[in-house]
Amino acid sequence: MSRIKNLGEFEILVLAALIRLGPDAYGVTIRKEIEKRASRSVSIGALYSTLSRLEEKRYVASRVGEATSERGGRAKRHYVIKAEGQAQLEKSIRALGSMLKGLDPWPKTLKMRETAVPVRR
Amino acid sequence: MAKDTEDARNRSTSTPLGSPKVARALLAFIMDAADKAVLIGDLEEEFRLLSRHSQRNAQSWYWHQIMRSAPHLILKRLRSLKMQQLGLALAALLSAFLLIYYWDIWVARSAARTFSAMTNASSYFFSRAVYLLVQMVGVAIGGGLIAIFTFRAEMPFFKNIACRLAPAGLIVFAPTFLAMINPADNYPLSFRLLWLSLAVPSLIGGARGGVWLQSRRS
Repeated sequence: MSRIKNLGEFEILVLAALIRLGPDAYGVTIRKEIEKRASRSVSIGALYSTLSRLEEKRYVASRVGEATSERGGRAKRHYVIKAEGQAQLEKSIRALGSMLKGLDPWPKTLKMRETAVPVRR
Repeated sequence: MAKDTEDARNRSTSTPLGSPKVARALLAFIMDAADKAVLIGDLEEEFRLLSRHSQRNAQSWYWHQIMRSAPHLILKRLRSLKMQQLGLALAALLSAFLLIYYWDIWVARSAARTFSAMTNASSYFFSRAVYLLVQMVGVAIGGGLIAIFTFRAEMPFFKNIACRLAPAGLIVFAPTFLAMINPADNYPLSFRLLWLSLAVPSLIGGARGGVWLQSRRS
């Protein structure tokens, strides 16, 4: 069995956001996309730290875009997911899916676990 | 309701506030040069959007972002430090530490004793002066070593002093400071002040010398 180096939860969210946004993906839009869809507050530092890690792993690529006045004359950095990143995302989601398979329906499974654990008095 | 009215009044009457300068400076300090402009640009863009509705909320959002981002950015910066650079910095600290202390024990004290013996002078003042003078030569060499191994050529000299020499100097001289404030050692206050006022320029002078040597070598 080949060893799969799975992505972390936040890395999955970031890669999925890159796929959704396509060429419009940069810091502000990625952060907003994750906040909107995952209902999760994201700090800009956590996002850039993750993007830089993904770039080191060669799952994403970046390029510096144009400077605009609403950014105080500073440039944007656009990110795009690479084929390796997409393959890794698929692997991670598949691994997650196989772990969750058969656990349906959730409430029943959780109820079974609660009764299976003996209560020590 | 009252807050909304106040914000509306702010929008209509006052000039728009910029993003918090202190927060921006803090961010610039902890970030590496490569990402600084992009990240500050992102924050600026969102800040401007938010400040259209409420300047106060925009300012607090900005600070909140900085506070939450700082740990991630510091960790990222530490990860990006090359192990070789870290090793060199530690080697410089250790050698400066050893040099200054052995210089003190072997060279500075011996020089003071030899001076007293040669001049046959029993003057406490002159032997202390020779001791201090020779000790400061050691401090300057220590400063030079720290500069050669830790200073970055692309940084201005005074930024190197603030970010590298000052913390390194504090580490190297911490035991000396502690010894000097120890009442058991019975150093007079004037000697402590004199030592400090000589050590700081000696360290910076040594660092300047180290930078000069390095520029000549390259």
